[in-house]
Amino acid sequence: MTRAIGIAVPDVPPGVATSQAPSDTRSDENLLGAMALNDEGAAIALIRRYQRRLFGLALGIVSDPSLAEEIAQEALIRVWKHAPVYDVRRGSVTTWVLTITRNLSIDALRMRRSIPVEPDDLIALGLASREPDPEDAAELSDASGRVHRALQTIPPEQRQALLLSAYYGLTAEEISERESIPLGTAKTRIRAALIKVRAALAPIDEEDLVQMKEQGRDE
Amino acid sequence: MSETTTTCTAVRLAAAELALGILVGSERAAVLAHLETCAECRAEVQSFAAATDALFQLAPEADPPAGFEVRLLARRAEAERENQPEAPAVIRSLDSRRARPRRMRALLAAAAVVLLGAGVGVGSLVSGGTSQPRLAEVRTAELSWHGADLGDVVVTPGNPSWVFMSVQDGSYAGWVRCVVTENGRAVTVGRFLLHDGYGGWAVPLSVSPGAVSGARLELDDGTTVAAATL
Repeated sequence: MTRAIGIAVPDVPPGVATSQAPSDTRSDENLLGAMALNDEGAAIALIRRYQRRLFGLALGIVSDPSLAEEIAQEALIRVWKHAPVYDVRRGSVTTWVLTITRNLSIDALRMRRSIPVEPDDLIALGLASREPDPEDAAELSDASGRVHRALQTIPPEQRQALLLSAYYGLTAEEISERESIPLGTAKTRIRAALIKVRAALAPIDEEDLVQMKEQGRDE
Repeated sequence: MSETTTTCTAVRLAAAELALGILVGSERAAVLAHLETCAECRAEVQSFAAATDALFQLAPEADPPAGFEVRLLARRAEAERENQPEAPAVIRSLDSRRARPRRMRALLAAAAVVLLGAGVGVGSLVSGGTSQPRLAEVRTAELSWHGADLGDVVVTPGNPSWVFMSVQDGSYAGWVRCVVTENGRAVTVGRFLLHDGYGGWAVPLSVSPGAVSGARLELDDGTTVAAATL
């Protein structure tokens, strides 16, 4: 769900469009293409589509609302700036914008040399409030659910190592120091955890699906 | 699979860290070098990258502070008014500079002709001799971005024909990629170093000069920083 944010006309700088449709059904890729042609309406539509996710991700990592806003805005400015050269072959728009935000957040965090939120708290908070995009709600919620379930089954020490690296950009060496474990153990924990997440995303085998349906009919 | 199984094994042990963006230093360089030639290991990294992306999608959503959108648009509009200061460094601070005289381009063209004709400088690099082009046959164009005149492009006829590029008004220092549009196809012809926004170079073309319709400079991430239409 996209929260409607009113634009106070007196505050809007000259030349900035203010009239927008409440929702834009164009795909992310189409919006980026239009942004490259200076379609400000497309830019605003993309901003509205992503601002909650980007701000939420940044806030989850840096735990400072004003810094998180700065990060989310910088991420969106960069997306706007690089829209003309976005290459769909490099991955989805969602992945692209989230990665930009995550990297900016990590940069900010490294300057502070601290981790304000425990990784498990971040995930717990996120899953409690996660609202999938309407466009791909079924697929996304399914994938998110499977990843979430996988995370819950991963041994806590592996999950901790994975989340520290994914969300806070900690290297294996930094995790080894933080957790007081050998470097090799840190590497193994990260890899083992990500393998389990990857397995959760693997498509269900067609034969397994048929078997599951048949079992369902039998019961 | 390339090189040895041991190398592939080592790379696959590091693939998760690479996908998570936490592999650093010489280890990262070694893995990236291996991936250049090993499709199987690339696929392994890509599968971990997909898992990493899925983790990012779990991140919490949150309402940004009131006025977020207005402040963002104001920031963008301010940047536009300031001649896009967030744009690549090569075009920064150009608004305060005067446009270079057009005669600069003619001088570069003449210099190209002289260099090729005299067989010195870049011309001396050509094996098998270089035919001297006539100035009237030389094509020139402004190298610009967002209306800012950054330099010149000159394409000379002959066999081989040459493309000369000159950047004189940027503030960017570092490597840029030169991409030429040949028969409608973008072809990277080389990478060049700009010192404090200044640089010049020449490369021979593998196609006839008439097939060249444009040239541009890109950063390594693909961002175009200057372009010319011939």
